Parts: sequence; C-alpha cells; structure tokens
Amino acid sequence: MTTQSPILRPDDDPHWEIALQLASRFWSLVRSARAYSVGHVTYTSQLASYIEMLSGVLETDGVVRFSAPDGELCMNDQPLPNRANMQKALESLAHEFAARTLEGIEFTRGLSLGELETFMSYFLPSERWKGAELIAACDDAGLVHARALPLRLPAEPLGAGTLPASAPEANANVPPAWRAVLAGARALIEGDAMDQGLELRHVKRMLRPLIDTVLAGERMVGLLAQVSPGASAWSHAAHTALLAICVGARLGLTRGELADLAVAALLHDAGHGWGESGGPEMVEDHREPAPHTREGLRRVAWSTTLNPASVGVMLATLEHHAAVAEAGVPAPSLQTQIVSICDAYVTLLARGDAQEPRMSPNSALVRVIGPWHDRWHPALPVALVRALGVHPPGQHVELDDHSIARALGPDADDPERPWIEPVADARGLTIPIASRRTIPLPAQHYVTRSLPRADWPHDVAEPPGD
Amino acid sequence: MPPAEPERYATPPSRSFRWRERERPEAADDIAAWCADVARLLTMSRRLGRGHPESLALERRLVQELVLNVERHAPFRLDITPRSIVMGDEAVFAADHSNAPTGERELERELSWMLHRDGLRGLEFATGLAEAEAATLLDVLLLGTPGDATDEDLVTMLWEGGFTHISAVTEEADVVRLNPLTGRPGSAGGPTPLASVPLVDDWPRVMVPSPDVKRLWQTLRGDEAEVELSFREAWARERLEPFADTAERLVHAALAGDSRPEIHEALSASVVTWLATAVQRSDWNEAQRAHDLLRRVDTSGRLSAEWLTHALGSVDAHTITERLDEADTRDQARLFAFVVTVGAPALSLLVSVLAHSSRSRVRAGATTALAYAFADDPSPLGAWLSDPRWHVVRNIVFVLGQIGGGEVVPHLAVAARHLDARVRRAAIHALGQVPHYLRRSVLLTQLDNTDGRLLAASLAMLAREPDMKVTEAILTRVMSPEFETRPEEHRVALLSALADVASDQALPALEELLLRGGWFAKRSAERLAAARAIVRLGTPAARNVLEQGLHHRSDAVREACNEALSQWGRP
Repeated sequence: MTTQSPILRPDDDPHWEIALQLASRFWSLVRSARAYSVGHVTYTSQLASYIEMLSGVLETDGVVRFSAPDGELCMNDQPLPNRANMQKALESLAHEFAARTLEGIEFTRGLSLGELETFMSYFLPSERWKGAELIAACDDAGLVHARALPLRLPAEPLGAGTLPASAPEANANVPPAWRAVLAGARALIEGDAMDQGLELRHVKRMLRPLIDTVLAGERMVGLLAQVSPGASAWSHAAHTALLAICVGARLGLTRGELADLAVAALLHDAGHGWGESGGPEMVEDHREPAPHTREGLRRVAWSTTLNPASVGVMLATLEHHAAVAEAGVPAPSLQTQIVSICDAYVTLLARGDAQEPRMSPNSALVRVIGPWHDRWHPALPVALVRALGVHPPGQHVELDDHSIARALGPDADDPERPWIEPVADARGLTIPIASRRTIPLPAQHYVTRSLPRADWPHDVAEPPGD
Repeated sequence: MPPAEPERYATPPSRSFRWRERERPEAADDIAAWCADVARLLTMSRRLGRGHPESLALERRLVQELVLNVERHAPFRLDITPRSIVMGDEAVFAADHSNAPTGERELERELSWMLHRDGLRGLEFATGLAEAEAATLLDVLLLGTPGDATDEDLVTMLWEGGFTHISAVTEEADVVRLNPLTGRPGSAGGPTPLASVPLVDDWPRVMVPSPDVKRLWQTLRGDEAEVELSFREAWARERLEPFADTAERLVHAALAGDSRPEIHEALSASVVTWLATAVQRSDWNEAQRAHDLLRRVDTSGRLSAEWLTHALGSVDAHTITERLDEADTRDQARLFAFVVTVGAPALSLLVSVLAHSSRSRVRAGATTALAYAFADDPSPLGAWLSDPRWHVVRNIVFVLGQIGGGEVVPHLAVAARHLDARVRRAAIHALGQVPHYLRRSVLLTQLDNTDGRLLAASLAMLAREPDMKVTEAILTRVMSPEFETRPEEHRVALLSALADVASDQALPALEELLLRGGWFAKRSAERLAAARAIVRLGTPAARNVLEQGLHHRSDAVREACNEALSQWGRP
C-alpha cells in the first residue's frame, strides 16, 4: 500500500487512509445502486474505478476484508480509525452488513470487473438475499474473488448460545424447537426484553415449532424429566409452557388456541421480583410488596398491547393461584386453569430443600391430582395424567422382570404404559448411560411399581435427591 | 502465450436482461393476473369492507381461479420481496410504487409489501389444492394483510390455517429487540447481564399419605368422557365470549381489592392500546366500549390523556378515512359520536379525517363534531393553525367560527395573518360569529390588507356596528399619505365604509378628497366615492358641501356633486 493519496495528512498512516477510502467508496457504490441498476454504464464505470483502487492493496496484501463483528467496521480484522467526514459512511456500511446478517465481505487478488458486478447484483437486493442464502447464491454463481462472509456464530435463536454449559438443555440432543423456547424464555424472563415492549404475536411464533412438534406426536413431555431443584425462573416458565401445550393437545385444542395457551404459560410468573427490581414504579419501602400475581399483570400490561392473547396472559398471571372452588370468587378462565395445574406440577417437581425433601414425579403428580384436584375443572387432572402418564417423565419404575427403567412419557393410548429408558437390568446391573435407548414398554412387560426416590439407582445422569 | 481465459461474465448478471430475452411462460401470466386481482381484492376490502357484495364476488372468483391455476401449474413457488412477487425467473407482481422509499405509506398498501411485512418469504403450492383450502388462504390474506391486529400476523394465521397443499417459507425474527450492530439486546450495545433468577416456589406445602397415582387415575378416568365433554363446551363458550366482555372482566378482577395507583396506571396504558387498535380497524362500537372502560380505570382522564393523544395520533388515518368515505351515515355518525366523547385526544384523528376525506358529507360531519367537541375549550384547535396544508387550516378556522365566542378570537387573529388568502378570508368570515367588541381589533388590522376581498369583508363587518374607534381607524387611513398609493378599489371601499360608520367628523376629509385637484381636478372613481359618501352622511352640513361643489371651477367636481345630489334622499 504505497499509493499516495491526495488527501493524506502529514500525521496519518497511509495504510489507514487507503483503508478508509476503500470502505467509504464501497458504501458509495451501495448508495449509487439506488439510482443505477447493475449493468448500467455509469454504475459499471464506478465499479471499474473501484477495482482500480482495490488493485493496489490486493497486490500487496492479497485480500481486502471488510467486517463488522461487533458493529465496528474493520478492514482485514483491524478496526478502522475514526474520521469525522467518513464516520457516517463507515457506520452505514456496518449497518448494511448487519441488515444482511453477514460478518462482512471479502475481495481477493484476481478480482475482475465482471465478478464484482455479479457480486453486487447479489449483494444489493437485501430483501432478496441475505445471510446464508446470499453466500450460497454467490457460490452458485461461481464467485471466487468476491464473497460474503458468514457470521462467525451460527444464527441460533436468541440466547441459545448463552445457555449454561452445565444445563441439561445445553447438550446437543436437545430438539431445536425446545432449544429456541428455552432461549426465548430466558431472554423474556431474565432480561429486560419484556420491559422494552414486545408483541405477543412474536412470542407465539417462537412457540410455533414446539407446538408443531408436540402435535406431530413427538414425546416432548419427556423433557420434564430434566426439571430439578434450583431450576431457574426461565426454565420453569419454559417447562410450564411445554406441559401446557401437551395438556392442551390432549384436550383437543387447535393450534391457535395452543399458541395462546403457551404464551400465557410462559409468562404466568412474570411478576416474580419485578415490582422490587424492575417495574416503572418501585415498591416503596413502607408498603408491603404486591403479590407476584398482581405485579405480573402490571408487567404484562405495560409491556404489550391489549388484545385477546394478552388478556389471556394477564388473566393467567393474575389468577393462576386462584381455585375454582373459592366461594364468592368467579372461577378463573379455563386457559388460566390449564396454566395453573401445569405450574403446580412443574413447581412441585423442582421442590426440594431443607424443609421438604425432593419429591419424585409421582409424588408431585399425586399432590396435584389428589388433594388439589378441586382447584381446577375436573377434566384437567385427567388430561394432565393423559399427558404425563401414570408414571410421569423422570419417574423410576420397576418392571415385572425386576429391571428398573426411567419413564419418559406415556404411550399415546395408555397412560399406564410409559416409554422407558432402561436403567438397570433384571440382575440389578446398571446399564451404561451410553447404551440407554428410549423405547416403548415392551408388550410382554408391565410396570409393577413406581420406585420411591430413595430406591432410585444413583448414576451420573441423575443427581442424588432425598 | 497462454490461451485466453473464457469470459465468464460476458453478459451482465441483471435478471432484467434475461427477462427481456425470454418469452413469458403461460403460468407466469396466469399467476400474475391472479396476484393483480388479489391486490385489487385487498384494496376493495379495505375500502368497502369484507362483506360488500363486490368484494365477496371477487373473492369467490379468486378462490376458483387459484384452484384452477394450481391444478394447471403446480408445483410452483412464489418468492416474495417487499416490492415484487417472483415465480421462478418471472416477476408476477410488481408494486405500483416500487420506487417509493421505505416508509412511504403507498408502498405499505402493496400486496408484496403486505405479504413480506410479517416475515413471509415464499409460498409453495402443491397439486391437489381443494376449494376449501384456497378459500382459507384468501380468508387469511384478507384478515392478515391489513396488519391491524396486534396479537396475530399473517404468518401465524397461515400456520393456524393448517394447509396441506400450501406451505409458507418464513423468516423468523427474534422476540427480543436486538441492536442490529451488536446482535445483542439493548440499545447501549453492551451485553445484557443475565443473572440467573431462581424459581420462586409459590405453591403451598401439602402432605399425601402415599403417592399412588394409579389408584387416583382409576378414580379419575371413571367419568373421563363426561368431564371432557363438559370442558369442551365450557371452552367453546369462553372462546366465543366477546373480547370486550373479557377485557372488562379482566379489569374488574384486577381492580378488585387493589387500589394502588400503579395498577390504574398500567391498566389505563393497556386499555389505550386496545382503543387505538379498535380505531385502526374502524370498529367504533368497540372503540366506544374501550373508552368507557378507560373512564372506569382512569376516571379523571389525567393518567391516560397523553397516551391517548399519542395513540390516536399514530393511527393510519388515511385508511380510516378511506373506509369512512365509503361507509353509510350510521358508521360515520358512530365515529363522530366517539370523537365527541373522547374529546381533545381525538383531535388529530378527526383533523386527519377532515384533511383526507374526499366526501363533503364526511367533512361536514367532521367539522360539526369538532365544533361540538371543542365548544367549551377551543384552544387545542389552535395548534392546527400552523398545519402546512392550507385547506386543513381553513377548515379549522371554519370550526372556530362555528364555535364562536371570545375564546376563538386569538386563534382567528392568528389565522387572519395566514400566508394563504383563502385562510385569511375564512378567518374574517368566522369573525362574524364573534361579538363586535372582541373582533374589532382583529378586523382593524385588516384595513391595511392588500387583498381587496379581505378589505371589503372586514369593512362590511366593521360597518355593522359603527363606533368611534372604527371611524377613527378608517379616517386615519383615508387621511394618511399612503391612501393615494392604494389601489382604487381599496380607496373606494374605505370611503364607502367611512360613510357607513362616520358622521360630520368625516366631512372635512371627504370634502378634501372631493375637491382635490383644484382647477385640474379630473373625474375619478375616488372623487365620485367621496361625493357619494357625503350624500350618505345625510346631514345639512354634508348637503351644504355638495351644493358648494356645484359652483366649483372644475367640471369633474361639479359633475360629482351633481350626481351625488341627484341621489340625495334616496335610500
């Protein structure tokens, strides 16, 4: 890069001057394309002069790579310096990369005018090609010396990349639909995403793949086996939404109804801790904190527009601890009741502290459909058992041949016959985790009993409980 | 010498070149015609409503044509961009306003934009499409494309449609708003710290003797069919409950036993969004119910006034006006009644209707509603006098005139100085509804106006109730040196008005004008006007001046006096 530039200042490094010129001229090319189509003689001459400008750098460095990994424009991985008269162009170019979900673009030695013209014809219509599609289209067109650079991190659903490595959901076997819901739940419940304002129709779209997966008959309910004490609020929200979808599907709800239900389940506990820490009006010291049900309603009311979906969510936040049988109080909506029964079960699954030992899925289920069953419409405990099975996911059971297995969701037609993951064989020998496969309970076998938690075999997959 | 490298890029890569070179396939023509008709249906439905016979007929035809097209050409895929729809290499729809910049309202009404907006990037059609499925697709397009629902979008509706021969290719945005540069939540650009908030166990502790699920299940399943049926019936009833009823129930439940101002504030903000959505849909009954509910939550209106103003100022008034222009008088009356109830926050909406409507009946209704709504306090209307559209300002001035009274005078005074003469004239006309002593000062400022019509109107209004100040003002102008430089029609008007408002104190000035020129006096309209003004004074002194004028040395003066005296005594 020895070419002298007429606008060089005495104290400027010529290297940066050329880099800045190349970046701002590329931005000019993007802007010019609004007036001239690719192929127009004027635009072609602009491309030709840009090639000429590039050639000096390509000759010496072999590559010119513009990228904006953190919003700051770099050339060949070096951040470009600030220059007042070019700042806007550099920022705009970084925005263009972001809009096309690209890390950046790269030109290499050997670039011809035709190749650059073809590249621009793909790069410019941002509404048509972006991200991986743009890269694939450039490859298909045989472009070698001009190419778009993919984002270094794959375009995962928000937050998916931030799941703690220790979390069971972080392993590679997690279905993508569930991974997206976990990530979304985390962003909504723990971040300030709700307080920035959101449209529930976007949340519905996030939940759509999970609903489709459940409706397609996949045993997603088995994921409830992963609920353990110390679960986070967002994980609880996601598991409650999952169970609500499963119960709703058993009750024959339509896709749209399931979407509304899932959103309500996801946000039902949005009020926990909000009034104290994040609400627009902090709870004053001399007042008792409002219950999370009311704070949840207030949070949802602030964060989104009033429509059938958000009313459903607000009713769920407000009434998910109300019981049908309470005298003088109107019964909560059925949607709220579904959220409520699922919340109760998932909360009990995660219970386990000094006051009360961790309970098995069976114990949790029996509390919900036993002492509490009057809290909800009588069809809901039935649907819950249909969704979870008599031996809910995570429950260890003994089979008639004395082998031990972990239940992972019921058979579609018979809640007493779970899908299982063998844990110990008939001789009592533990089956290595790597050899365990989820299978339907073989027809010749049946479950003789559910094992109390104390009798569960210890293995690395299941942390010891009580 | 190495062999020449083949020219890989001999032809420009632009698609348009290829389009021009090739013959357009029949499938593209058929689909293009269908897309054009769908765009027409959406426009028609937006303006006339879905239930209009013309919309229904077109919808039915399009259903049949889609089935036929799929039967003939499937499988095919339509790629959707904001400004076009492409089938293979053929553009089957191009937006009329394809060159409109992003953010332009016209572009937002184009079929391709409406489909693209919610993330739809492609539609794939497979053979075997039935009429019911095609009808559902049209239904979804009609429901989803207006974009006036806040809980549903086109992509979700397509998903809920459960199509088997149509599949949607979509682009999914993140739920959370991300900084486009950093790809992280928040505007500051820094990573949002995500503290791990533990689950709060909020269910009571309960003991059970033994966890025998199987036994409980046996009990529960006994009446499974019965309870499921009961659930389904109850569920269906709940889903059929009108949204307004559900919203009211929610508010009632939220306020029961909770009198904190925070809850009132949050609910007010929320109900305002419902109200704005109902207005955007032109559902005036629902908007009215939303407003009634808002009044229950925020009885004084103080909490919500600002939000309501903002929300109603943000709606797409152009679409609302389009519908209103086509609506019957009952619907129009509903809007006007709603606006009168809401008052000041709805001002921008109503003014927008006034500005956009092409129907005089709608504009008349809007002005009446404005006059009614702001009769007690017209000051909010004053803000619209600075609107760049002259016709909007003129209509506001008209409304101010309808309201009348002293409170509108400062606003009319502003309007009387407007750049556009049509607005100034309307302002003078509107001052007719204001008591004389209040309007006088504004009218007097118009005496130096260069617009003859304005001057005449102002003088006519001033002459209705003559007083000393008016007389002095006119006399001052008649006697000023600039009087000679004013256009003749202005001078005549001022002299004529002077006769209406003055008595003998104006006589010296009029006599001076009558006799001006001496020997060399010539016949002029101004001299004649002065003579006529003296006649209209009707006093003996005035007659004396004219009679003396009959003996003047100038023919022009004598003629003027003679002509004036011939009018003496006539009404």
